[in-house]
Amino acid sequence: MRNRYKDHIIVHPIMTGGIVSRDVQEKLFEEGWMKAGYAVCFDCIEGRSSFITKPPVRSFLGDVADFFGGDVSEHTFGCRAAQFAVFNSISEYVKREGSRDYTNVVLTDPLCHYTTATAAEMTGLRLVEAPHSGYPEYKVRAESFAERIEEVKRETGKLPGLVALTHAEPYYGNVNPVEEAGKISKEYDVPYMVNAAYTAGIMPVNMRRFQADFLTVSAHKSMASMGPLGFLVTNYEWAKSAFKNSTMVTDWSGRAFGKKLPNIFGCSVGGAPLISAMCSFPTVVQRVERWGDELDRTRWFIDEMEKLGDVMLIGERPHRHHLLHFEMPLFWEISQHHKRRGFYLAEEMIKRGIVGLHRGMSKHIKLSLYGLTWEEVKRVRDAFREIASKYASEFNLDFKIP
Amino acid sequence: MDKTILKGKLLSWKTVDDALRSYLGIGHHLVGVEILKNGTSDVDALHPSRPIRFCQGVKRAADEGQILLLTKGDLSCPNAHITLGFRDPRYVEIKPRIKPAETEAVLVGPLGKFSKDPDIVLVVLRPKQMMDLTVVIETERRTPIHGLFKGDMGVCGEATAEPYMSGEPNLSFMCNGARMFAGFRDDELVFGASPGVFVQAATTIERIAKVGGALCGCRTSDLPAEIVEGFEKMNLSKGTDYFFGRLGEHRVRVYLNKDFQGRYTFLTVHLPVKAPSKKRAEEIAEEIGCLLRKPYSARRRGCWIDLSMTVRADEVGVDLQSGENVEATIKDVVENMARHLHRVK
Repeated sequence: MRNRYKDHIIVHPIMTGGIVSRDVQEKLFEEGWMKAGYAVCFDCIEGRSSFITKPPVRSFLGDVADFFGGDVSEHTFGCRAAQFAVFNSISEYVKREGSRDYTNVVLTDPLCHYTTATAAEMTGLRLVEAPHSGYPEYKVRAESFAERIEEVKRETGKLPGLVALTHAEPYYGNVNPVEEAGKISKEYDVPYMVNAAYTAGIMPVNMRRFQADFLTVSAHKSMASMGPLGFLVTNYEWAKSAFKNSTMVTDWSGRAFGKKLPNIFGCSVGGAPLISAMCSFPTVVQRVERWGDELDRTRWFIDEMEKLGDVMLIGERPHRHHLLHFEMPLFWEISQHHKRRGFYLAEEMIKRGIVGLHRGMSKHIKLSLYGLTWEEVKRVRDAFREIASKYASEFNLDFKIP
Repeated sequence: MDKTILKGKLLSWKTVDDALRSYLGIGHHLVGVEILKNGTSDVDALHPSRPIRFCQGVKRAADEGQILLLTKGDLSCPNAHITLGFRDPRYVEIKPRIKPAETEAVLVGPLGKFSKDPDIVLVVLRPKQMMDLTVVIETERRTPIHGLFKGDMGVCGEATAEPYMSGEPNLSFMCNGARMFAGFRDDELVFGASPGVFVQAATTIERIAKVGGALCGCRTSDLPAEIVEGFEKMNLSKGTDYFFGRLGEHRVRVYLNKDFQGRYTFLTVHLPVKAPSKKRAEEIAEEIGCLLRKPYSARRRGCWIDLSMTVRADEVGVDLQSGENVEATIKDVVENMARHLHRVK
């Protein structure tokens, strides 16, 4: 069981924001946090990991809520579990107290993460999408949310139970109009969730500014943490239902579990992922302030890649996120001649010490340079250049590589 | 190990059994049936302790994983003697049956335990599972499955002898004997076919499992296959949810826009052109913008100038589904854009 890539530069967009610093890695081992799966539970008194004060999980969760502009947060088994908790709360809400005004519809963006769809599927909610602008930018307009809300009202006589908008979507790295959509949600009085899996911990995120009722966060995607770990941040109003305590009393033994939270599966992560997020948190708070530097490197890289010729960034410009999606007819044409077909590209990159391109893909690639130094970013650029030059000349292709 | 049907397909009968059970959601095994005409000395299987019906043997193989060698003396149902080819009928012709009647024994067992190719594979299904299996089979076969059944001699005749003789798959709603004595449920039917049909189905299932079509393995568009095929014939390859490729010297993108209700209604042709700088891109976009008339447009995007044209497909006589006029329209549009671009450059 060797990790072939432990010394490689990672460019996988689902990984770069979650890379755990060497300091934190060492601390996890030195302090013995890796010794047991439930390493934070030694001094658990109240029966739920979010109540633990040694180590200070409880205050950490308060800090997380503050940092993202919310009132309360709970850690979850990933961002998907946070979304599930929100959707389940809404599903219950539209069945009960909200049944007169709201229907079981979640209005979302057309490039939301698949876990938004599965959360709806699990909780009996129907997804309705606001459209995007299509190729090549795939942008979502906030007004289209209002149009869709009106449409749902016409069809059902009720409002959607939730607007769920992905802050930065995972296909093209577009940053969606979360503030404008928040304003619209408030005007219609529809609960509003922002899925910040790719942004919270990367760039400034404040759910109060978004006028969001829920913020879902991925620690292993964007908070320099081991996974799985996520957070659900909410306000006091919605915390009552999202973090509702268990009311179950078993029928024969009469047992009850009053401190457990059903929406987060009772008691959440109690081991290394949580500790790693706590150790990384001070750095995460600081790095968000340097988001502008990250964007500079990202935009420089986009320009460099497009100098290769038939390579073009898809998604909005100027680009405002580290997730990049390039269409690459040049590299795809090479794959048509290469004996490894589309696999050559990821393999050639790995040979050059860079890992994270989806194996088999050459027509489109997604990558991220988040957290890399200028030297490393240049190394990634050079790798693409070398591969393009090598094969354009080997296969006699009509491309001029600089 | 004789695996003529599986040869070169990197499958075993166990993987075929697993693939179909997993895909269809079947708790029991598929059942292999081998008709033995040349002795049974090399067969490693037990006879039942007392005579049983053929359908009971199938049920035991499916549910309990038993491998049974059934001679005429082991079979208590006289119908199966005839249908499985142990003997000819005495007074009237009976169909379906295995002819000529030269069968010495029948080997019945869970498909996954077969090392040699069985002659027929049986699978007990509910209607929804039959529908799902049919879809998988039809992906390659492209001929409807015809059912020949009359509620008599169901498992032995309709599901086993019929496909054995005709080479065509058949389904049976079984017979009263199978329901009463073998214990098949009222909502079950049995499907029988040559093993090749199941190998193909397993291969198709494996292929379906691998189809993702997107960066993360999720489908990124619902473009119909016929539309994609049509564009590929024009040498325009499918990207995430659009097409790109070269038309002559031009690198072209085609996007089919949906309307607000999600119908593919519009056709957009893009000719992205890279300028040496953002400033130059701005200038070109402005110059060319003055020359172009709607529905053409020119817009700067970073260092790129997006020359594009979006129209309602039906308004320009394009039928996206049948592909009628698509290629000619795209070529006209690209040539027109290129002409304007040439004037500016």
